[in-house]
Amino acid sequence: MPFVLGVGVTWCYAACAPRKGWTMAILDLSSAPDSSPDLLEFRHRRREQALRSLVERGAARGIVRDPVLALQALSRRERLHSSAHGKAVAIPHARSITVVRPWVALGRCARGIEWPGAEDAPVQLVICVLSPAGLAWPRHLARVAAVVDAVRLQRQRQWLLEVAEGEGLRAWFAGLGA
Amino acid sequence: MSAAETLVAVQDIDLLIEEASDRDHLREARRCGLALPTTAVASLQAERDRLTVGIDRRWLELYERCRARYGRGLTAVRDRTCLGCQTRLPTSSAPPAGIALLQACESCGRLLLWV
Repeated sequence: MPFVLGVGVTWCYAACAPRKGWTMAILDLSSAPDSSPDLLEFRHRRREQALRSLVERGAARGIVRDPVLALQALSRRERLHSSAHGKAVAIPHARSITVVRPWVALGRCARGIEWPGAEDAPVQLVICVLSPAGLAWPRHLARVAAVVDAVRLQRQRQWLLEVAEGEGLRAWFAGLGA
Repeated sequence: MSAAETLVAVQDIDLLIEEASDRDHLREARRCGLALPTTAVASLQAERDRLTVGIDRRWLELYERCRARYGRGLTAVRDRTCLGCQTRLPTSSAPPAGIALLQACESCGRLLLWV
């Protein structure tokens, strides 16, 4: 069974191993991929805070190298054209060199977020799509289009608002190529 | 804002200008509600001009040269490897942790960003 050795235990191992013939496998947990879906529950009601939470999650997961620059990239696009997609959905997205690999995160807020450009209703679902700068625009566009298609129906949006973390959500993310 | 951070912002703007100018995928972008308005290019260009004023000319020229040649001005370094030419860079060239540093790749000449 794999287990993690602390510094003290490692020292004991080093002292005893040659005599007792112990073996040790070193497990590098830092690079182990975390397959849990990125689901955020927003408690705040402002767009800027929602975007900040998303890039901070990305930074914590090692997807975003510099959260400040990634947030700037998302905000710049928002200034040019709101990512509010209608039907209480927003799909902020960006390509940037600060993004290590393609990533999708889902944030939700049942009370709704005040999202400039959202004409019909406050935004309840925020699906952030980030791609590295090296990804060509048509491929990034295809990734965002997959998200748009995945929230087109009311029952899909309702499901995303209610679903708990688990296999279903994991499969949904996998379907997006996240 | 350091030269590296400014060039990242400039590259992000260049990517947006590229998207806004792409007529081939305009229909799909409109369907997804992603098409940038036609006025976007002018405002992006103005922001770009404002940012580039503060960058060291040496880095800016190298950025423009790489952009013209490779399509991207900046290339990331991951695990000490230039992601443009996949050449492993010498250990001595790595910057101290947490510091964004600009450097030209010794192999392909791309402008590298260590972050």
